[in-house]
Amino acid sequence: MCGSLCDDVVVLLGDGGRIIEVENACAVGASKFLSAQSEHRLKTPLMKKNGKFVEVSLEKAVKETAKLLADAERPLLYGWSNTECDAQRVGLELAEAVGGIIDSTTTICHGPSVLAVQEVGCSTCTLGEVKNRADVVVYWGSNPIHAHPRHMSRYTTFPRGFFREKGEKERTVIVVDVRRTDTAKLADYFIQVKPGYDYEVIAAMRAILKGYYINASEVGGVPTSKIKEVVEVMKNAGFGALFFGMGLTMTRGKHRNIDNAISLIADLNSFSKWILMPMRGHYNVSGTGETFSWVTGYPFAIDFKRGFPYYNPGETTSIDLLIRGEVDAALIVASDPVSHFPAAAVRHLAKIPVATIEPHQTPTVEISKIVIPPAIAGIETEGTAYRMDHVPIRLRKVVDPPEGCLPDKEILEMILDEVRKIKK
Amino acid sequence: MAKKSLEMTLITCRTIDQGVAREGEKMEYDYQRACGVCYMDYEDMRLLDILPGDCVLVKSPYGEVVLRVERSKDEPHKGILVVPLGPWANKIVDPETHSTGMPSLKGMPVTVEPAFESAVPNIKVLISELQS
Repeated sequence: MCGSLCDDVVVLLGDGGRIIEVENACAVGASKFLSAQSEHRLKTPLMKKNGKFVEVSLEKAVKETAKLLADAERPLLYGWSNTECDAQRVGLELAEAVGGIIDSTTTICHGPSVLAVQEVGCSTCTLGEVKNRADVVVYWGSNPIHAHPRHMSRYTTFPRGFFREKGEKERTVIVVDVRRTDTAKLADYFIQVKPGYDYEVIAAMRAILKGYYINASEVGGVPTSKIKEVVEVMKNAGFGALFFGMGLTMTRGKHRNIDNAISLIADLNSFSKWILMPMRGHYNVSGTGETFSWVTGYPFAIDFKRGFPYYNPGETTSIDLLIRGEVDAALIVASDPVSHFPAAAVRHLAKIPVATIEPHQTPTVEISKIVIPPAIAGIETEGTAYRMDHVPIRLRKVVDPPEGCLPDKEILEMILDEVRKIKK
Repeated sequence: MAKKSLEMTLITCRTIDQGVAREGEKMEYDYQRACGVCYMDYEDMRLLDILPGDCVLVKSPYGEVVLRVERSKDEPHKGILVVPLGPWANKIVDPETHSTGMPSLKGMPVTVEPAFESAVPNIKVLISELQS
């Protein structure tokens, strides 16, 4: 499920709590519910012996995981975005107990956005306000039709809002991307920017907004006249919302692109009301930022080695740590870094002992020494998650988990107890 | 005859198929079908003399990987090679984070050449390569 965290999903259950159908969800959301009961689901803790997994008791898996973390010099506790906030809180306690580094998937999605927000602040609102008020919606480097399939239909473009009774007819959609994505095909204005030139286009927009003359026929592959036309639309918005995705954070400029985009929004607020919001990927990645921040003061990449929280992206971020070969053990919770980290980082992860708390067979499970399958938050256990606009939503339990599968939080508490016994 | 090749810019992306396959099916063929693929313009395919369904070898300074080619539905984006995020793309992306923690997953120069005799590696092969 994505950061839209749809709260209108209906799950139809058959005999014995079998999930038969998932209503209202998109294809991604439905597959999350249906895969919970698929034949690939892990149900028993596993440990590798002579290169093969053997089933072990939960107690043994927990003890071995605690030993692995307690014995390590520089353990990394990574993931957290696909579980609920209470489990994340226990994860922070565990990181502190073992003097490790705790990092979330923010590090490889909107980490640069967080850095930019810390530098220049951010004007934002809830998705409810966007639905009720927005008449100009911009998607920059984001393709919600594929990555957040219900974002446009629930919150931004198609729904009727309190002040936008005609829904889509009262809204103008602008898409900025390097290719004509399926989202761009629905837009009123499409700006096709050259890869890596987003910063320049934003800067040109800001210059036009401030009344400067652009002495060039095009900027970043976009005709200046087109930029002027779009800036005019943005300037005259009643309420504008800019949503940005990986097209800004993963490309040349990274956090400086976001910094400039936030500044564009600040400039636009001299003419109209504008907000901006990152398109968060995992359903509770915003929750990691919230939980980590209210416990430690920092949103991701937190190092407890010194005995207190220390944060320095580039030094304490997972990918940098792995590429430098600094980490000597890892606990992966509700994530799959082997599928999502660059090969240079994964090669080191594959060399060190890894324990994984994960309900499905994933590439990270394949390289792990210990695997503990939990109950899935929001399907088999309840909890709290934060939507991309930082609105907390209660997750409900729909079905019972497989026998013996405990919630992430309880597994982590068991590991924490064992670590404290070892460290005493 | 010299082997044809093309200098392109790599852009990683999200697709709905990748999103569906990553929910519990990552060790299955569906995930390979969704992520072991690259999308390019018809014009670029003509320059390489390849057809949809053929394989290409994509090389970057950080590694190389064989991918299946599909004609992009988002044309025109001449010179841009679009690959869904996943273990296949991760073999060729730039791991440099520039002190932000975020590797450079979009906008990298790559070389693309036809690889008619090759096949897209399955996920188990990719994992064993990373472990070796």
